[in-house]
Amino acid sequence: MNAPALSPAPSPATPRAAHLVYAFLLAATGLTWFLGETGAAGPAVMAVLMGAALLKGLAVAGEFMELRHAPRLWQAVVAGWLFFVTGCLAAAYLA
Amino acid sequence: MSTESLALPATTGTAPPERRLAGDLAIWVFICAELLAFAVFFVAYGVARARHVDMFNTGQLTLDRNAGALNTVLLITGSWFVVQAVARLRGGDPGGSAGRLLLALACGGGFLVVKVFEYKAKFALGISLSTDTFYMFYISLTFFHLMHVLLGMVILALLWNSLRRGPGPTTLSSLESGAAYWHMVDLVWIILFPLVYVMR
Amino acid sequence: MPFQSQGVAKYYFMAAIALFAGQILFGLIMGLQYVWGDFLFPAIPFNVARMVHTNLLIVWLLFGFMGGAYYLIPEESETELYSTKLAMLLFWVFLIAGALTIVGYLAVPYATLAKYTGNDLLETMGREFLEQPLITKVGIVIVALGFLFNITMTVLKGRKTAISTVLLLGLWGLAVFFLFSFYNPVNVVEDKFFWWWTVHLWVEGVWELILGALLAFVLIKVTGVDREVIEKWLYVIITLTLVTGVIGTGHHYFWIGTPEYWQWWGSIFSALEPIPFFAMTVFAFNMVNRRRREHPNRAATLWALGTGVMAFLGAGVWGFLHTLAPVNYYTHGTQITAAHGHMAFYGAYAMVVLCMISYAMPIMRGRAANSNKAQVLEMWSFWLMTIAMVFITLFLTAAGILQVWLQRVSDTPLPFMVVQDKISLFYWMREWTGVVFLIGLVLYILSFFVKGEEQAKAA
Ligand code: HEM
Ligand code: HEM
Ligand SMILES: [Fe+2]
Repeated sequence: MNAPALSPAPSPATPRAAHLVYAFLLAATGLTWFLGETGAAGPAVMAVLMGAALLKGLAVAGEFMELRHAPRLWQAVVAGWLFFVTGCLAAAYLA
Repeated sequence: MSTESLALPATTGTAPPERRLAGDLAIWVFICAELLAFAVFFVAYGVARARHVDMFNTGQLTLDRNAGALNTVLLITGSWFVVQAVARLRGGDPGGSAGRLLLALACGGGFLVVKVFEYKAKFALGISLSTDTFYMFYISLTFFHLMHVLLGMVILALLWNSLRRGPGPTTLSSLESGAAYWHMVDLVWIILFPLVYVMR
Repeated sequence: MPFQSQGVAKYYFMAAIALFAGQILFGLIMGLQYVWGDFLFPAIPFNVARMVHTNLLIVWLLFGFMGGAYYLIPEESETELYSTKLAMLLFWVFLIAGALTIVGYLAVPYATLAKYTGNDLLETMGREFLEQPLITKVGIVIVALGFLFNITMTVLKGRKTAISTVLLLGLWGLAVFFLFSFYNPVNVVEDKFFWWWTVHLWVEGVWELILGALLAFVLIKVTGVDREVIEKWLYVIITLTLVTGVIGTGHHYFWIGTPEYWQWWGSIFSALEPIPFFAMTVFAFNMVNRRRREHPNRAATLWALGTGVMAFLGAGVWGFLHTLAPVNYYTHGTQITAAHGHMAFYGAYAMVVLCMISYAMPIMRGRAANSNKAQVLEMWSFWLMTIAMVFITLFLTAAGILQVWLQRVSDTPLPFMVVQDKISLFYWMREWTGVVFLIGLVLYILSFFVKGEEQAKAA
């Protein structure tokens, strides 16, 4: 992963990536809300919702929690958690 | 979890500089336990829903989706401010950092207010933990999460206070730890909202 | 021994071990009554033996905790005990009250005891673990208050450390939750509901704090690892304990008439209760692996590691086994519960007290550690008791599985007593293993009297 400068003396400004992640989170939340308003249902909608939640979660973990720059074990733990939970929920939905 | 790494005091400079966990190791152990608790809760919800699809779908329609979405926005906005607070402190601007924490706290406060109105409406209808399994999960899950928002706010308030009084050598590490915890609260809600309010 | 007043712990520890021996004798009596129904009838009925067995357990553990605290607190606070006299006075009060209570159980029928001790003033008797007559309960509260006053004052006048704070928290919690033993609503649901506030919130709440603090203290002493590292661990462990254990009480609210949501709450939160126990095991091994010194008392180190492992097995693994509501539906109140109760109590609380005794007793007797010969004997007793307890647990688990199967799962369920007959083989094996446990305990006591060449004098 191409970690930007996160050396002992990082730049004072908030990383641009964080703003992009924020915009993405807002957009994805809007999508989730919209799907709810239209009353959409079914496996495809479920897949979109869980997919969006997964991506949002990965973005928060990677950028906000700074796991992008963390040892891989910790990335695996949190990403694994997200995949596990969304996977189980999808499976339970389809069951 | 690797047993070896668990005993290392966090954020000593011994780890290779390019890969580093933001925050104290202890808070991450705690975050893992919290995530596990929520995972168990979510999976239990999924299993219970599969057994009573109609009950869950009917119950879900009565929820206030707008309140849920608004709360999602409040949480991610709060997280965004916390990210900025960390960046500012790293850049040597404790005052700016403290300001961002206040904004994040305001977002947390907004979350609480929305939740209170949401609960009030539900309780006014006589809904309780014993109404049915759906409402049991709705109330338990959101309330358990709410407790985490509160704890997160307490942590942010303490951090704000220590920034205001002037940061010391360990302030950045504490701020990073508190930030990680706050983002965890956000992370969990990101699953909770579609699961409980929307997915049908 | 850095502080003179730590010496009071010696009396508490000796009393603890004596009562421990009594507990095991009554365990063996009951174990025999399981397979030989009228053994000692009518002198000692099963229900009386059971009461003596479990109450002695609680009382000797309390002696152990108090002794541990009297030893630990002055050393952590770096000051003498607030009042050595008070500690000695309370020792005799507690010992005599405890002895009289046991004599009462054995000498007169329980109902008579209840009548003479003022149970009709405030009805508190007759509930498992809390069978003590009202006057004994009041006595316990007085002793506890005096004890807490003494150690709290000591901490207040000395250095405050994470370990002493956690220990104080645990001991105050112990006293506070004991107060629920005075609350005995007529409604059976409420009665059970609050009974668990004492029982569950003790062993899966505040006692775990005591366990963590005692273990951390011994580990600091025998490994020489930095206090900061150990303290951080302690905080993580106690937070996890409280987060999971408090709502985890719900695993006792499945079938007693409480609302249904407890089935979910109890299952979910108690399923997480093994985590702090697991963390404790990792913690103990980690500290020992990173040790900075070779402490001459190897037996104490062995007890510390053993506590970690056995607490995790007994409480964590055997607890998890039956903690989910759909499983507990079948196993509730069977021998599986007894299997878990034995291994958990032994692995967590009996062992941590023995660990503390093993570390502190030689020092109080003027040496850093016992002679090699004495330590070898002590380690033999460690293995005998621990392995015996593992097998007792396994036999009871086997008995429990058969019991569940024949009596509850089967399409043609058999009556309780018929099943008990069919599984009596396991009860015999439990009894013989219990004898091995007793031999281990006897060796343990003997190890205090083995001389041999003395090791380095205490620093
Ligand atoms: C050192 C800690 C522990 C001790 C000393 C302990 C001891 C006991 C005892 C003595 C009982 C029987 C109570 C009675 O008379 O009914 C019991 C019941 C029970 N324990 Fe524990 N326990 C511990 C930790 C745990 C943990 C961590 C769990 C769960 C993961 C657990 C799950 C249970 C359950 C579900 C029951 C009820 C069994 C039934 O329905 O009959 N325990 N425990
Ligand atoms: C070594 C020989 C032992 C034997 C033969 C023995 C036997 C028994 C028996 C027969 C019961 C009654 C079970 C029932 O009500 O059906 C019992 C209960 C109990 N014993 Fe022991 N015991 C022994 C050692 C211990 C030890 C070392 C401990 C703890 C450190 C212990 C803790 C308990 C507890 C907590 C109960 C109550 C369990 C419950 O409520 O489920 N016992 N024991
Ligand atoms: Fe319990």
